[in-house]
Amino acid sequence: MIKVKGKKPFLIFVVVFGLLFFLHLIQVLRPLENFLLYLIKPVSSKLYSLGNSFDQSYTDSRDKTDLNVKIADLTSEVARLTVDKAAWQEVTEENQKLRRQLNFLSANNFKAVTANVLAKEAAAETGEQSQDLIIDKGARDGLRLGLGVISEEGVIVGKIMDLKETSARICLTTSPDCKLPAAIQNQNKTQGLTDGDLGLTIKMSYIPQLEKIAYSDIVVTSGLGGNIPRGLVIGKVVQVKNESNEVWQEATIESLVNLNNLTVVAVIIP
Amino acid sequence: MLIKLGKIIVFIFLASSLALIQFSLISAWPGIFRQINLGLISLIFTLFFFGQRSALWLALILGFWLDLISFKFFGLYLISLVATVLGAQWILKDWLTNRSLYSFLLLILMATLAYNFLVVILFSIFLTDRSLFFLAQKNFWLTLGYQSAWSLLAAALLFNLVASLTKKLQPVFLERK
Repeated sequence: MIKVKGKKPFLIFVVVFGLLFFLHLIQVLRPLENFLLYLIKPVSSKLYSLGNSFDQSYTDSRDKTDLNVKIADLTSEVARLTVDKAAWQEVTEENQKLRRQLNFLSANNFKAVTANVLAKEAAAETGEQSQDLIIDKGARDGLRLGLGVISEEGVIVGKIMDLKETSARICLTTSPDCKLPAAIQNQNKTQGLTDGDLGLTIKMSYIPQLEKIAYSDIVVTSGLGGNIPRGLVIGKVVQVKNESNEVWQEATIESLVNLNNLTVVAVIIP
Repeated sequence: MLIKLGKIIVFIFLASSLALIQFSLISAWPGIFRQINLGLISLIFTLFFFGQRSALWLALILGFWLDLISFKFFGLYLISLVATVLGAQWILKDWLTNRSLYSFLLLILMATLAYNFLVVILFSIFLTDRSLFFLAQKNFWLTLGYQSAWSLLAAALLFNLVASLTKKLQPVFLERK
């Protein structure tokens, strides 16, 4: 243990305590802080992955009872998706040919910065259920506020809310106040804003009653605002709240990936 | 001199590891397990068994690391942890007369409550959205409940572990001779 001999060891503590604050405020500590953060990143990332594995196995064991139902659902989903995929492949090939012919830039022509998740942090210290992610890339790597973050599968999982030189804080699409400009892939390409709901699902509000939204409609980013490219999948509609006496309708959206188990993400720089 | 320096380095290393475990490992755990506040438990353990000076330095190192990694304002954890140690020391010195299990349980419970209230009060001061007033938040009370339960459980386990290794501690009940 640290023991300082002398008349006033407590005074030394107060001085160190005060100096830490002062030197941080005048940013003298910045290089040391960046070095320390750089030093702990690999350990932090490994610890987070370890904790995440525990989370995953714990959740899996809890969900075992629902597993059979889930398997049946997924089997039919895979069959449907296989048919869809075949159709989409045709469209994609045709699209690529047309793009080449018209000499357009590829739709996915953006730069992405891959980052490891270091930790989860409550959105506010009020014990909110939603958790923000802290990643190991920051302003120094070219990131800026509002940029979209995607999972390994290419599904948008959130956006950058806060930045430091070597790290960034991401709000997940299920977090309240994590707003994304979105469009539903229906006939009218209904546009709106998505927002997190209790850290569990995503909701899209203020949709006019006349718009037709169906279960399983895919919701993508609309590209409005310019920070996030359009066409990135946010999730699919799982519920539509449509009361005849209301002016607006509301859609509940579920992400296609498990947002609790993200360990590697990519930030898209348009 | 070298031994002392070695001890200081080991102490700093352990305190830093503790901060990393709290921030990266425990934060990724599911639901109720995420509420374990290993840092605070270690602080009160250090205060109870090694004294105020060691606990204060541990609070300083822990708080510095947590503030460094966190995106909340710098000083939130530093101030909260140091103030909690000072408060716990006051309770230990002026209120509690022995080193029994009940003293330890009471101390850790009071420290957990004080720390949580301190963190949210400090955070609320810097929060622009006043609608998030913490006393009205169900999750705040849930977090507080879970964290207190974990702290009490850890305190009971740690006390018994230490009691089996040393004879300095008081028995739970006074024995009639």
